Amino acid sequence: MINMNDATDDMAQRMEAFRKIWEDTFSKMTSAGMSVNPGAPPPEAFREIRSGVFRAMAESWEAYMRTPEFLKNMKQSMDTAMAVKSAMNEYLTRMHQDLQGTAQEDIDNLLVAIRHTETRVLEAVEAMEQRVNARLDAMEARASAPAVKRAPGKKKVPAKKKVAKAKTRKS
Amino acid sequence: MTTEASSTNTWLQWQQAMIDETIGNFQKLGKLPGVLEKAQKIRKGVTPSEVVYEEDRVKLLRYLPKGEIRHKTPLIFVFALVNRPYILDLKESRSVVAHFVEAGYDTYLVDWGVPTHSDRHLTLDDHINGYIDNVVDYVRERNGVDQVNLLGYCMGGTMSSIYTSLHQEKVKNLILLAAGIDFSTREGLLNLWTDKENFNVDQFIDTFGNCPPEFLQSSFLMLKPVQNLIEKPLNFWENIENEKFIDDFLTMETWLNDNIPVPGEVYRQFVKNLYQENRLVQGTMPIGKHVIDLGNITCPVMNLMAQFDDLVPFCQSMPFNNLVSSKDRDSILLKAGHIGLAMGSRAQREVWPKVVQWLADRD
Repeated sequence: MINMNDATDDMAQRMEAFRKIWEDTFSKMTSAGMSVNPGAPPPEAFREIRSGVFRAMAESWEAYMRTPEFLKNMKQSMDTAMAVKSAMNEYLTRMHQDLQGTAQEDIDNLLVAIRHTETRVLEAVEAMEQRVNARLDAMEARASAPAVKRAPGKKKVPAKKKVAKAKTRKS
Repeated sequence: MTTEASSTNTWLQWQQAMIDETIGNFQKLGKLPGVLEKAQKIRKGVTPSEVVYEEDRVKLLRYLPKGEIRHKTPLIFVFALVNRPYILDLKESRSVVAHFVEAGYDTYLVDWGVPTHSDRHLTLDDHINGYIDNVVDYVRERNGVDQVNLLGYCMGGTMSSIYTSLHQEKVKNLILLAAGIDFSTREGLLNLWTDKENFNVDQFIDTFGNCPPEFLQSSFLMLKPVQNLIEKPLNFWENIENEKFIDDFLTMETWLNDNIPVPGEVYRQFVKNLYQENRLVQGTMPIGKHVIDLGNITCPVMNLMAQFDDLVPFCQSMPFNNLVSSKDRDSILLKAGHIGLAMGSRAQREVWPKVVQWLADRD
């Protein structure tokens, strides 16, 4: 529920900040104009006044763009822009879907699904790479280890094949 | 009597000046069609190059060497995702790239291309551990070396520092150019505007997909509204008859207005994790499965900063040298702005020859 008093106060604060920025700007601009040498030739005098005015304006605007009032205004206009865009997106999506066409949202959802699949595949490949590397390391270590003489009469037992367990992943 | 005569004289002078100004303005008006024609012919990048590697929208440019390659370690420029990278090779006598090519470096540049809506889900991890890593591997293989030199500009500098912290073994020297590292400062307006209470980045990206170029452009313009919206057009008008000024102006404006969208997820991560949460300096910045620790950087680093940078205030880049473990750390602070640091005449004269030498000493 909007409190009318708060809303009025808020508006008054913003108006006050806006009035202040213009007041500051004009007072700085006036003092910049006053500091000009009246005897200077017209084009130079004009340029001096102008650069003083711009400097004054730049300082006041920079200060204004840091005020809570400006930030509030900025946020409000952003929120409005986003609300309008959202409503338009929603409307267009509904229209496309009603016409049995493909909406932007459908493509986005498809892209997200592809990215999830891609991530899962990459994770699986990485896991396989790690396992292969571990096997290779073990084989290298075995190859470089000194050969052990087998006791006579003892048969070589073939190594059991390990079956990698399927990994369960969170999607 | 004398005072009266002098005031009449001044008044006449002013009147004459007004008449001259009006006539001058009409003459300038006649120059406009020529200027518009010139604007159509502006070149985007001047040093001859070839595309040697492509992946999705990303292209790797290799600048054709002038004479023989004199340095073993190749150099890769990593630009930001915000604008086009030809600012680094804007025009003759204003090209950062040319300094290195002429010094005999095998020089490459990552051109990120123009993201489309289908790139909105690409993250910083995709760019850093995907594209940049693939490019670095390609260059290492092509040049038969284990390591490369990296030079990152602006957001590209932030990404290069993250890359180096993850893949230090592949980077020989790291040069940062106006790179945002510590986002705790509220000196810059961008830092203030992107605060959590002022900007809901999640809602923004969920609504728009990618960050629209017009949004970025207007934010940059608003950093200095009087300078950008009033003084600049006035300067242009006053100097319309000055060929050199107009050439520089048009080249610069072409680049400034050549904005591209930023992939949505990258923008979200950049604003959230850096501008809003300042995670890089805290050692909690997540990139894919990794958490970034700048302390992993041990190679020589050169940190270039601009004193009047309104986009990345220098206090945002300054802490970098204290966060890395490198023993060989250098920095240069130039009295320039964000773009002037790269292509300003002072930077061309004073900074880049020094950086070229710095790199040569560590080849």
